[in-house]
Amino acid sequence: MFRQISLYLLPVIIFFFACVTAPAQSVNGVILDEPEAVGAFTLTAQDGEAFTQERLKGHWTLLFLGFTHCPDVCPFTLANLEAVRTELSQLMSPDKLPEVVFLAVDPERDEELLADYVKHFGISFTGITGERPEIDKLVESIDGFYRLEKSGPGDDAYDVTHSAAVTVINPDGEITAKISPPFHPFSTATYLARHMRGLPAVN
Amino acid sequence: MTEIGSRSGWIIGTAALVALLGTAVLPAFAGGDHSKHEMTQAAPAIMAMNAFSPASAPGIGTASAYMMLENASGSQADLVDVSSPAFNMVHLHKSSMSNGVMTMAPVAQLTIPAGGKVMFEPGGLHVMLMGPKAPLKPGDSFPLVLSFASGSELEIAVPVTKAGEMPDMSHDHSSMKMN
Repeated sequence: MFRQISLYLLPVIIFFFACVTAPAQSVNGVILDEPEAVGAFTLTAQDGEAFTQERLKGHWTLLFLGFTHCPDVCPFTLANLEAVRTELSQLMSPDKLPEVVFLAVDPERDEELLADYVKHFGISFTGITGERPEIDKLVESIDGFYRLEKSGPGDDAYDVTHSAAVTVINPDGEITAKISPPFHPFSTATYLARHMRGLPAVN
Repeated sequence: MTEIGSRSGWIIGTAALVALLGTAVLPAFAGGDHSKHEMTQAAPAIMAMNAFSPASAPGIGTASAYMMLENASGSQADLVDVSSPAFNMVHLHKSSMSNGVMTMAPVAQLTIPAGGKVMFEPGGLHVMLMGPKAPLKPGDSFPLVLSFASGSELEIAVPVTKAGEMPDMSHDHSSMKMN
């Protein structure tokens, strides 16, 4: 009898064990004490339209900074953000879903590829880039960082070191949170859904 | 809500089981249960499992390949080179985050301890692929050759997956099929 019960209990025990041994499922999120407005900038979206801080208003935004030739982290993050949107679509109506904006900080290589690049990951994604000083304004505003690792003028296979975090921006165009990798779609969506409803974070 | 809860449980449970198998139980299984996965591999001591490479966006000449390498032998294996006839340049790389910033560095040699395993995964260890000789799309696959210090080589077929699609680590070994 006891054996039978313990057999049934096994999955439960494994589940609880899994809960304490699976830190990979947690979300590395930081919620700002006070929202901070994104400062003024003028960049261009992949459709050629001007993209300023005003375009961040009226909806939630997940902003990620990277470069199109990024082999590992950027594709993985963008694919995850689309998966996060898919998860979120089960928790809220489509018009409430956050928009994903990819800030391409390597315009020399990014500009002409940007439209195809962002659509590859999410049909609704917006890619923005532009003049270096304008890129830097937005990077500074989100407290981000990047550095082109060019070895010389002829180097066209250079890496770009950059911030890993996704910046969460509210419909007033203010930064409210930052999420760092790993971006597990389900847990990140749950985290965001709570955050967007003004509920305290459960990491 | 219960649906969500149970789903999350499964995901966590699976992750933990995989972790458990990998860390605690694996050495015991190395010569037994896992041997069925060896049959398609050229070098029997090293196994490459769940290899995949997400398709790049159009016009992008960089990509990565991921897998799990398992060393079922009694001695350590040193991976010293990776190559592929499908790309102009192939390097062993590792992404890492420090103070919130992602950096990437080449890895000259990768040691897989006897009876141990090494995981290649997004945001960590990866095979960086540059300059595809022909565009690769989901459903394609390409050969990847892993060369070890011992002189042995392991050639695997890496399937190209859709962005966001990862092999199910718990039971799908389809990526191990050889050409």
